[in-house]
Amino acid sequence: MNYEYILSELSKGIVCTLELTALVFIGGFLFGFILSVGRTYGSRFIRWLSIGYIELIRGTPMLLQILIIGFGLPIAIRNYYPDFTINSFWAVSIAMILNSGAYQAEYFRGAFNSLEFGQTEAGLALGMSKWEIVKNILLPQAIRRAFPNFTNELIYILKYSSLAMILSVHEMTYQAKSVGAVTFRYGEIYLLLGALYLAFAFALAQIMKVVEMKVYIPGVTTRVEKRGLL
Amino acid sequence: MYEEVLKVVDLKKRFGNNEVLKGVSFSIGKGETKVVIGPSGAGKSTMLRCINRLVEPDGGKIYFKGDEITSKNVDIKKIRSRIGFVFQHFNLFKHLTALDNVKIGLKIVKKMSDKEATERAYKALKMVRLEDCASKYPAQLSGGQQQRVAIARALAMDPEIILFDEPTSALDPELVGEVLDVMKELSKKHVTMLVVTHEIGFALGVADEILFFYDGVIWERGKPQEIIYKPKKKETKDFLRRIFELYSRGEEE
Repeated sequence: MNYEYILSELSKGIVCTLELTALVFIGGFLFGFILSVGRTYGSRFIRWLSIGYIELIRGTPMLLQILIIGFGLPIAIRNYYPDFTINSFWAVSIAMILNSGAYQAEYFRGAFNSLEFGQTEAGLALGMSKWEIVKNILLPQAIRRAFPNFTNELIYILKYSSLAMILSVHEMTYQAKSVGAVTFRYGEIYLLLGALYLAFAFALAQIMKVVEMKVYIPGVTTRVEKRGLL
Repeated sequence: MYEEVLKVVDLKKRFGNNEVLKGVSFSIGKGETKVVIGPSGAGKSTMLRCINRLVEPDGGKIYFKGDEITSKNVDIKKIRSRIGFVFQHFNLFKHLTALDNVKIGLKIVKKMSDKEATERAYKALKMVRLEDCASKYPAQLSGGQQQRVAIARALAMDPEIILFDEPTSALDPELVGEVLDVMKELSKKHVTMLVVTHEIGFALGVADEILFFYDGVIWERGKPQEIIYKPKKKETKDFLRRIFELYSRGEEE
């Protein structure tokens, strides 16, 4: 059995999976922030637009969303621009960012709503605009309060990036499957694949924990586990 | 020389069926301290919030330095930056140190450079005797210290008037003094102040006039000595008796 071949194929997949995970997480974070601000602080029209979008995304399977962006949309666009093509990595990235944004928007919203209104009043009383308050007062606190949710989302994205294989993106799962098809050692390779996901999920959770500690501010969040009372 | 800073004319506000302000009129001159007392629900806080339009009044007019600020086309943000506001529950920004709490308005609203804002913020913290706590977060400060940071935050903006909404009501009794001391100093320095409070001693000591709020109007007003020791109306007497009973409770037993 050619271990070198297996490892080199899998490591290509690892790079692709991690790239996809990072891209989707960051893209979804920014998009989710915009959606949640629209939903929480926007005009009535913007608010309903955001709510409608979030419900649409949450109510349909991500696999379907990937299929629509990867196969359906390009065909539709080709009716107008016959030469249109989209790289399948980008198609998956866009679909997953659109999906993750809807979820991350709700994490942000929960955190925004947990902030007492007095701080907003204090910002207004100083003469700040709505957006100055959102950016300088509410966002820094909301991110800290929503941190455990973002860690969750990052790990979800890591695992759901395996859906990209449906568009033949050469991420970890796709690579494992093709290596399996060549070597017929499906059992071992899929076990190895599972171990890899587990290891990365664990590592990402640890990294996020370190970041969470680094940005900790007493009073914004409470580290109950450090109090030793409960 | 009397120079008018704020004039409130026939201010009205209702929440649903509840008419909170039924026509309130008064004015404050530069350097004056006016104290508003009265039972809860009389409309004191609503009146303060109407002045910088954290609550939109339904009727009446408010003039700030001669300009009407109640009309819709006024840039209320500009006006608010010239009116200090100190809240009952401090409302400090929890993610910022004491220094940054004082700096943020200077930087974002007054567009000062970081250096200039830092200098001014330190000066303001010094005035409330908290320069040693500059790098602490609100959660690391006592209630009295937090309220003094909030006063510094208002002071640093160099406002033309500061509105105080029951600044000591949320404090432990032994912390009330340090906040009142700072406010007395400001009053002595002729900072223009409108103070809603139950601290009768403070009112006696520094107020130029006391406004007794009752049932959405100014029920009685006058010099502190007159209002506190020789109130004319029954409601004023009843209210003051309750306040005095509260403060002397235990002494007679």
